[in-house]
Amino acid sequence: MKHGLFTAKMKLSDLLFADYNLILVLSRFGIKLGFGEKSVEEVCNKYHISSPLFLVVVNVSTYSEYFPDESEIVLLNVNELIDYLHASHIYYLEDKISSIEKQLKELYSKDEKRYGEMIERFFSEYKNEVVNHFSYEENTVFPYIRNLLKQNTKVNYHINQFEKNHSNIEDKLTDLINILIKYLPENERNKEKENALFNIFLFTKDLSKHILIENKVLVPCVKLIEEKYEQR
Amino acid sequence: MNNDRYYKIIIVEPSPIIAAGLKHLLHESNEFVIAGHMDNIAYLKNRIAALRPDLLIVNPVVIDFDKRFALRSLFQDIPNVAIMALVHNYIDSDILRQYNGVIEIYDTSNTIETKLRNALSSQIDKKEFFENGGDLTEREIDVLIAVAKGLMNKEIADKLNISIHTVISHRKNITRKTGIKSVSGLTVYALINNLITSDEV
Repeated sequence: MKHGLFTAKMKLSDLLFADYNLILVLSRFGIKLGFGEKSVEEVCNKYHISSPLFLVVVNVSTYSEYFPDESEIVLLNVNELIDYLHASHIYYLEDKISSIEKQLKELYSKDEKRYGEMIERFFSEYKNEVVNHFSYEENTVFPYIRNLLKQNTKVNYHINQFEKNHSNIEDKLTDLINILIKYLPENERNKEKENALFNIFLFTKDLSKHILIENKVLVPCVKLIEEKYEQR
Repeated sequence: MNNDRYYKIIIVEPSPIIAAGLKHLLHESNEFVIAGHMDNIAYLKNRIAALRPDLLIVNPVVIDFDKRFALRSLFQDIPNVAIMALVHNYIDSDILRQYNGVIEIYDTSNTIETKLRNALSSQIDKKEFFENGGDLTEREIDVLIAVAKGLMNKEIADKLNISIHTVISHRKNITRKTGIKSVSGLTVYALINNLITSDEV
């Protein structure tokens, strides 16, 4: 699987042509569009992003069979990885979820209020779960890792706990997709339904990659650091 | 339909004049027997197991407004019984659609008998449709309703007199057929299909 992965010498624009979902990854690294013919490495240098981290993130996002091995993990800048994950959380909460929320309100006319209310209630429950999920990471997991990196005395926490309790926040989106496609009765707002569906599909995919990066990149990184401490 | 037997009917109608009129019209029939008349739904619920009707004729106004959209949830214990609406004022067509047929106040006795026969056979068709896997089976629907109401597997097993193992396998099949995994997703599914009402959640 090492062959065919994105590399530092490739033109960044080619990555987007290969997988347009990476548009979102770029923006979370703070990279703005309009980078011309620059390579991955050149753009990373310009934005002070470590290119090994950038490459691992884009490769995990695009190639479902690829996960970094230990030789790649040791090269990663964990602080930057946390910055990236934090930026994703902000994007999901402030952009994505509120835009889906708005779109769901458009699906029903006033006389179909019954359906509108069920869907809104379902989604607001989901939103609460996501908020809780992210705030646990923001308030417990990330500060723990940042402290660990600063070689602070260890708090009473272990990344295993995160691994065990990393709750599933993707299933309900698939449920919602099933409901919109199959079970909500047809009405005049088909276009609005289509738009909402596209948005939810994209969000589901992006979120699943985000969780993959947490489980397959962040957790192994932190385990390595923890092991180093324990050996002392 | 078997001609050797007769079908037991219960009427739930608050107006004594209309109930008496309907009884009178069906009096001549040897196919349909009125086994009971009551004016409210609570009384019916107590008597239904003893009377074992084949068909209910219900004026939809006797059912609380917010439950009218979930007729089958109300009569979950008697899934095989056909239910006809008896209508003499305006009732939303979404509500009437759940019934096996609608009897109107100007219908003649012949029309009523035909409608009753159609209702009985449509309920049999419906039952076969469910059992042949068109959608969820009746048992899966029972489990789904219980899940949507927030019951735990153990509670569902006790309520439906089946093992926890069977509950779990029904739940797996429900998810396989609908694609919906979460309890709140299944609740929305049950609401959309009028299997439960929003105040039961």
